[in-house]
This record gives sequence, C-alpha cells and structure tokens, in this order.
Amino acid sequence: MHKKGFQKRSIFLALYIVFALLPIYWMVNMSFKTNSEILASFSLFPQQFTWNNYRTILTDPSWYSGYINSLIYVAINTVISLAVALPAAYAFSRYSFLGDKHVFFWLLTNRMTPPAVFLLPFFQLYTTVGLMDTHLAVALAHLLFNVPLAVWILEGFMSGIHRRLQFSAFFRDDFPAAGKSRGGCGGVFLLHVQLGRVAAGAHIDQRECQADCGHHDTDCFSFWNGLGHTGRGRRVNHRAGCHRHLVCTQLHRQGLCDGPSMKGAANV
Amino acid sequence: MSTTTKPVNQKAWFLILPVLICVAFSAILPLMTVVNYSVQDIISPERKVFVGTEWFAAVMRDEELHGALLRQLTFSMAVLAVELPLGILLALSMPASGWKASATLVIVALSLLIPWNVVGTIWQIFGRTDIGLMGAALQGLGIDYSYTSNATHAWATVLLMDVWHWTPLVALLGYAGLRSIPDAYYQAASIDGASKFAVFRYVQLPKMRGVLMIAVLLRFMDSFMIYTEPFVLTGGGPGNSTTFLSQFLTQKAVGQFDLGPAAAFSLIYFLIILLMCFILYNWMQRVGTQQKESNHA
Repeated sequence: MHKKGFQKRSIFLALYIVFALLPIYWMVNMSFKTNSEILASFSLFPQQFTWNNYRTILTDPSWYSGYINSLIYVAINTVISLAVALPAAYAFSRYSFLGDKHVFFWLLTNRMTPPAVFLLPFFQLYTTVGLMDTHLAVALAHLLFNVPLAVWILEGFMSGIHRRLQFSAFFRDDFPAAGKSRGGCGGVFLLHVQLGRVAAGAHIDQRECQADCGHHDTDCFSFWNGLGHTGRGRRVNHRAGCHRHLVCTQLHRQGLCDGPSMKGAANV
Repeated sequence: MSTTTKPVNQKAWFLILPVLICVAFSAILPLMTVVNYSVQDIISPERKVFVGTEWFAAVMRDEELHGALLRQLTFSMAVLAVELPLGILLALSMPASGWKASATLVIVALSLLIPWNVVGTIWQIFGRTDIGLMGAALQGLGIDYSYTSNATHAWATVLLMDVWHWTPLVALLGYAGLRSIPDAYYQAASIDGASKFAVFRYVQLPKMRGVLMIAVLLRFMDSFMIYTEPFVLTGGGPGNSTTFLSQFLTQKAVGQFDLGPAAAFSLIYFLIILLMCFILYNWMQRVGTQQKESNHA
C-alpha cells in the first residue's frame, strides 16, 4: 500500500468517525447538564456538571421498569428465535429438498413486510387469543422480523464454514493477539467460541484445544470436530473419521497444517 | 443461498417445520386478516359489506398515495446512492488488523446499536438551532436551517440521519467481504502490475459482491419501510414532505380508521416491496453467475 493513499484513507476514516461520534457526544454532553443549563445556554462542555439525570433514571421506577420489560421480552424472543431458526438454517445450508429455494425466499419476504401492515391484524389477533398486554405478545410479534433474519444469517454462516475451510485463516489474521499467544490454536479457539455462541447444543471442548496447542494436526482435528459436528454433538463415527481425514488433507493443501493425521480420531 | 450441490434429503422439511409454524402464526394469520379487510366495507363490527376490488381501485387512484410513493422511491434511491459508495469507501479505509482495527470496528458500529426512536430523538435535538450542535453550527454558517418549517431541510435531515445510522452496516458487511480475500489474490494482482483501481474493480469488488447484495437488499427494504425516524423527527411534516409510505398507511389505518382502504393499500405496499426485492435478488444472482462463467472461459 502506498504511503500517500494510506494517508488519504486515514483522513477519510477520521472524518467519518467524527461524523459518527458527534451526535452521540452531544447526547452524552447533555446528559451531564441540568435542565436549566440545557435550555439557557449553549456550551460544548457541561458547565455545571451533574449526575442527577442518571440518578433519576436508575431510581425512578417509571424509567427503569422500561429496561426490565425490554430485557424480559428480548430474552423470550432470543430463545424462541434461535430455537426455531437453528434447525432451519442447518437444513437450508446442508440439504436440498423440494421447494427449498421458494421457502427460503418466502421467509425473507416476511422481513420485507412493512410493520405498519401488521398493525391492525396483530391487535385483533392478540386480543382474540388473550395475549394482549403481555410480554409474550411483543416477543411473538417481533419474531416475524427476527426469525427470517436469523435464518438468513445463520444459513450464510453455516454454508461458509462448509465450503471455505480457510475461514480459520481469516480468524487468525483478524485476531493476531489470540493467534500469537496460542499458536494457530487461537483462530480455531475463537471459531469455537463463535460457534459455541451460535450452536448452543454443541459441546466444544476448549480445554482440549488449549492443551494441544502447537500441534498443527490437532488444529485440523479440533477444527473439524468443532465445525462439522456441531449439529450432532460429540458422537463421531467411522465415517466422520474418514471425513476428517479428508478435511485435514484439504487443509494441508491450503498450507494450514502439516497434513492428514488420525491422531485426533484416536483421541475421541 | 449457496449454489453448490447439496445432498437431496426431503426429511430436511422436518427441520424447517418449527420456523414454518412460528411464522404461520405471526405472518400468515395476520396477512389473511388484512386480505379479509381489504374486500369489505366495515361499518361496525356487526355490519360488513363485501365490496370486491373497490378499495383497491380507490387506493390506486389516490393522489396523496402517488405523492407518498414518489417521495418514498426518491428517498430509497438516495439512501442507496449515498450509503453504498460511502460504506464501501469506509470498508476500504478501515485498518486490516491490530488494535486499531478492533477500535475502528467498535466505533463505526456504535450507531447500529442505537434504537430507531432514540436515533430520531438524538437528531431532533442535534438539529435544533437553539440547543443542538448541528443546528447551531449551520446557523452560524449563515444557513437558515430549520427542519420543522423547510421541506428540503426536513428531507435532507431524514436522509442524513439514515446515512448516519445505517452506513456502518454496509461498511461492516463490505469489511467482512474484504477480509475474506486471500493474500494470494493481491500478490497475483501486483505481479500483473494492476493499478489500485484495477485491484478494486477486479479483485475486491467481485469478492464483496455477495455481502454487498445483502447490504443493498437490507438497505432497500428497510428504507422503504422507514417509519420511526421521520415520525420522531418531523411527524411527517412540514406539510407532508417527509410522509413516507409507512406513515401514510398508519395515518389511514389508525388516524382516520379507514380499515378497508388501509388494508388494500397494505397489500399493494407489500407487493411493491416484494416485487422489487425479487427483481433485485434475481438480477444480482444472475450477474454473479455470469461473472463466474466469464471467469472460467
């Protein structure tokens, strides 16, 4: 990269960051001012610094109950979304079946529906079912927009893993600190963490990864073990072993590890 | 969805069954209610008259709706025209690795974490000439800025607000695409003596195509359904200069309680978005396969 081009880019980036942060700064600035100061004078910094505004929102129930409500429905919503979206994303990324493309697009169309369209029907539906004024109703209503998005993102994520094994290299580059301290394991470890977050059912043995650091073929093994079988847990059969052998060979070709080894299979 | 060959397994239907049930409850049922409304004149809960396509015809001829649709289209196009180049530029200028990369990522993504109505509130205050930084600064520059009385200013503020809120999405997606390009590609390009623009045009842009497609679709859909921000900022005014389709619909359905026309309009609105996304989706996918074929040839 040329020095000059680099500078131009840095300037652009700096300008954007200023643009991005100014409105937020202004909010923070105002949050430390008293009401009278906000309305009376115009200043870049709070003249009479006060914590009172924060004290109010954290002690007045009419303020903080809003947060509690949000947390409740977000929790319900996340649990339901993940529970239904994960199997679907897995199905879309690994198998082809009758009408799969159409169902996928149809799911997306729900993401495209203007929320205003559902305003009246939701009101009617939830009154009829007796869900009006409950957290569950809000969570269910939001599912409409979250589930298709979750399926879409998870599907892309799962397909990406399957096809492009150099994904591990991507993580290594991206998290140099982790990569340096734990050898190549860092990248894989992070991928494990990522997946662990995504596939809640997958038991990923992080200790194994940490303990075996430095051995490139364990890299391959834990990489495959972590990725290919997230859906099936820890059961590794003979076929999977052969599969793993193949993957290690592929990784070797891409220069990511030392070559095929069945050491990992012996570990299981 | 990926185009690589996958094993055929009809049992996979069982895996998507939960999603189907879930979405059926929260999408198909309400949508059927809307269809039901759109063909009836509801005078009171007990008295309903079947009117066929009358509401659809009435809505199609509505002058106000034409205005709102035109405003909406202009706005969505403007959003794409600004956010896409800006987002790509931002992705290109973000550092590739190190603590600087992480720090920039966090700062850039900050505005994405802010809820819609708060974004509206932030800009409403930010743009006020008495207590807001931007409003005061613009006035200091001699511009008689006011988003409450000047239609152009209101429109521009809504656009600026959307750019501020959503450009990071395009940038982050583009950045993810850029990081997945192996170094070998750049090395090959430099051996060929490719200029920086050529590297961008023939290496980086094609590699970002997939994620940029997602960005275009998401930004188009979301800007086409924009409601909260203009509602908080201007309430659709001054006049109806920032009344976009969603707001127009809500005014009809809740404000005036014209259930029939509102439902008919809902369906048309939905179909417009569906059609546009379908065209965009297919067009981009075709461009992608053509590119791949020409690469192989």
